[in-house]
Amino acid sequence: MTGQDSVEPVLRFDDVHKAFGTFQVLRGLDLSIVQGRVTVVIGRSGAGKSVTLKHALGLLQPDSGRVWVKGQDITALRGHPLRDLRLRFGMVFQNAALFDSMSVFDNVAFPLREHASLEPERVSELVLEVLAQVGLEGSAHKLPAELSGGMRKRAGLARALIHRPEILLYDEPTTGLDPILTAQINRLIVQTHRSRPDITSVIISHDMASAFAIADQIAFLHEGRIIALGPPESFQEHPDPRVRQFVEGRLDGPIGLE
Amino acid sequence: MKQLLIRVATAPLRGVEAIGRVLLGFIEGVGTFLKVTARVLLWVFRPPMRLRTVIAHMEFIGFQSLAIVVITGAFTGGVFALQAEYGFGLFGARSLTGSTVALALTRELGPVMTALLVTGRAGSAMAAELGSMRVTEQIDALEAMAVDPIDYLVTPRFCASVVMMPVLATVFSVVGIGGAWLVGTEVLGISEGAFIHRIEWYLDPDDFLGGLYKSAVFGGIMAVVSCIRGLAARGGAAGVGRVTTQAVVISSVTVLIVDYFLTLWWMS
Repeated sequence: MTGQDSVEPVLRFDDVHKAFGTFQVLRGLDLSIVQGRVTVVIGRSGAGKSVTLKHALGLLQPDSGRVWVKGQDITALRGHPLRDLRLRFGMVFQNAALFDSMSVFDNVAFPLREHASLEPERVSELVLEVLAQVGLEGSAHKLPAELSGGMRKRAGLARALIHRPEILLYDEPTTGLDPILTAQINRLIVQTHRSRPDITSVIISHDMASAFAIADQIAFLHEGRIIALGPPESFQEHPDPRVRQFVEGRLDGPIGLE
Repeated sequence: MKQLLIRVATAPLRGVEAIGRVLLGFIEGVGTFLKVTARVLLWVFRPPMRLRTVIAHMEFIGFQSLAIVVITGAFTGGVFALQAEYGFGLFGARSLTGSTVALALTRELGPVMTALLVTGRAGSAMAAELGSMRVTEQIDALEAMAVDPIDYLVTPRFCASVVMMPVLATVFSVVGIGGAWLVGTEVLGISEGAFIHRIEWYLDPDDFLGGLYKSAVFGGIMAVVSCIRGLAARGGAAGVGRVTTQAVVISSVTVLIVDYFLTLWWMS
């Protein structure tokens, strides 16, 4: 659709099905993510967006279908190969998922201390650098409970960036923030991307304004499948009435309320 | 009417189904426990050694449980002396009170009571902490950062529990014997010489050692069960509360059942 098929995708979901008990979440998800792009996956709450991200990290395994990362089938990975795979990702969780017993500094330093044998001075240098990047240099000593929602998200982003991942996954980065903080987080995502153009970002969201502001391509996830994929402009006047209803935020339309 | 008949006719089947479900749940629980224990034991000997974290947990499980263990131990020993003296007094063997209390404390009461106390205090805290980490996605974050929660969260708690439980059980037994001695000699008027001499006579180092081994096993059971329940938390605060209760109940019952079999094995 965007001429991406000629390029080897960084991340590819191939007919992925996933159910929890009798509840079928993913029903044949096909999605290719190209390197260096910002892809925003939109969809209603409960459409399977978070489940999709967890499959990319190997936190969940598909019931059927395959997930590929840079040409490697990760569906059956265990042990060290799975560990190595996860180190290629940085994940920003919806509520930041900071360790609440640790300061912001220790949270951000955590991946380095676990996986890189660096001198404490070097760790400190890198942590302060990335904290400055997200505008949190003055809050290094604070505990997560002392931070506002926006600051927590920025600390979460700093922790995801610290080990220089190839792929950044964002789970609802702007949910629950006021419009100004939303704009700030969006700018941070774009800036992060500009400073490292090789990085691939996958953002799941139901915030259409943000999706239009930051996406190179948008994928619409509905009932466990991608039903629309393309550049943001193509979503302005989309032929699919379901997409139009979601984008315009209308109550009446083919998508009913549960 | 027809539906009522069907319900009555299928009642035995539903009973069998319920029993089957409980049985399957039990087998699954035992399987998970063994699997997690095996992974924990692997991590104990595999780097990274998280010594600082282990020491912090030892402080929480051990040092911070001291007060409750000392108070409970002293009163358990005291009340046991009262009851034993009454029983032995019936056939004129009051001087056996000290040795009986000492044997019971070192072999059984010390390890078991300590395990139950520490489960209530530290096991519940472990389940609640890991449970709230689970529901706030902190466990997912750990895994996303390629850190195994069994290595980072469960193994240090396991090590700290296995080391501290025998220490606390020893404190419980010693304080309990002290309590019994105080009640025996000051309240009941048993001669100090007879009280202590009989203890020396009857108490073997083996009794003491058996108690220590049991405590270490109980510590391991408490840590693994509490962490498994914590990691299994779902939903919000209610989910965390549920797994905390489960952690205490399952740990306590398992400790009592395992105690019986360990004692049987030790005595044979």
